[in-house]
Amino acid sequence: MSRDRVSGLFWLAVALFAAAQGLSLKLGSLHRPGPGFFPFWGGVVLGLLSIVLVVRSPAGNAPGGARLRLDNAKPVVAIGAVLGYLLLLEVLGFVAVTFLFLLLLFRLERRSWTFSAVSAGAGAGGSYVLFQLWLKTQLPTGPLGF
Amino acid sequence: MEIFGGVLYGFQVALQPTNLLYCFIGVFIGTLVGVLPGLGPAAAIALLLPSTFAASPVAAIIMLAGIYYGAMYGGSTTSILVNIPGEAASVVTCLDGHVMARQGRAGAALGIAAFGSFIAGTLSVIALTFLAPFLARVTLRFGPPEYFALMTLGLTLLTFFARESTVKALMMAAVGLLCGTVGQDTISGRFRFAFGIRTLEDGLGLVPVIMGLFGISEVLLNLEQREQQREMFAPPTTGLLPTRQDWRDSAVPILRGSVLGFFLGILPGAGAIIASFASYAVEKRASRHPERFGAGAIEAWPARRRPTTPPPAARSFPC
Repeated sequence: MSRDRVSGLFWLAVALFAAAQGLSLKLGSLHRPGPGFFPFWGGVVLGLLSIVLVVRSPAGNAPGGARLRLDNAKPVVAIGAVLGYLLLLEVLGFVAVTFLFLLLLFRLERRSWTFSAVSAGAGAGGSYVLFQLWLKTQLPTGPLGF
Repeated sequence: MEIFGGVLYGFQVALQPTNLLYCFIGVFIGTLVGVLPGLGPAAAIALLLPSTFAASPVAAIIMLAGIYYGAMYGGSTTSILVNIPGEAASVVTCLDGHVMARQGRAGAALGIAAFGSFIAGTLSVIALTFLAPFLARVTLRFGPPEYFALMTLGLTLLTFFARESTVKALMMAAVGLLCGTVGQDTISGRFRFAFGIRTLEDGLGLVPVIMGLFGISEVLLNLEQREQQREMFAPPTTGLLPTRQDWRDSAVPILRGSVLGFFLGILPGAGAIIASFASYAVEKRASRHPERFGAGAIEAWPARRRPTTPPPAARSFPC
């Protein structure tokens, strides 16, 4: 499938979901819009536009290489790392999670272990000093107290 | 004529060496904090407010104004160099500023951003000095219908930004609208799309969304490309001063952007963001080479940098 068609179908699903949620929240009227007014009509507009995108995009083997390919796993790993970062942030604390996250990203770029460890340490430690110590932002702390 | 007396007295106070020093310190740390992604002018002022406690009231206000301007300018640095806007109003700076950096002209981009900010900031302060009483009356009359019209204008301007597909641009406008509905409904107080998650009940912040969108997409793009395809920047040390040609290209846009940014920037709320986008659209319309927009056109991008600066001055009075 061409890329446009895949993203069109994806956004169509999002639109249907939003419109259904909007309906269940009460639409209200044009003069007194209810909580579901914007989700519903936003969903309708998005749905119609995604149908246009799906219909207009060339089917099957589109020339020009605008095709979805999954031969490169790096982006998937990176997105997984971002999600893992969010989930672990409150558990392990800012410094530890940031260090692991940066280490993974550097390794993903095929840097050496030494370079990755030093840069990740500098990144995590530097952010800690800058945000926690200097600007007094409250970062999530881990079991070790930082 | 009493206004001139006031202006002269103001200069007499502001030009004292101590106050100038406070101003310099304010701009300096404001720029440093503004460069950090996600910390816009408002956050910078909030964070650095304690540092002014020791100063006299006048010096403190001068320093805060310096912090505001510095943070505003600092936000454009990350936009140009790494394509991650530091705050909402510098999104437009990313469009052409970063492309210029990729072409090895990061120095000129940074330079024109600084000069443009300075020119527009100065002009807006002068205008504000004389027009403030009149503008305050107009701003108070700006009600819901006017804001609605302004938002509609903002969404309409999207068609100017679409470089490849209008359908996709409009789709993303609808997605943005849906993202805006996350959280508590302002009228009925009901939660929408919160799914019982505490963080979502607050709604999606504009700055985190923008930074994630630009930042993560930049990371993913870099990961997808093979090593050798990746573009490297020529170091920006090749002169921060824009060339004479750059000045010729950007002089009129800077002036136009100043005027537009001044009037739109007065509006509380989304003033600065709308102003920067509107100014970009106006320049694209007025340009004889609209196809260069988005491809590193210098006149495009200082134009959109300008309007982000007037608001500090214009902002300080409605509240």
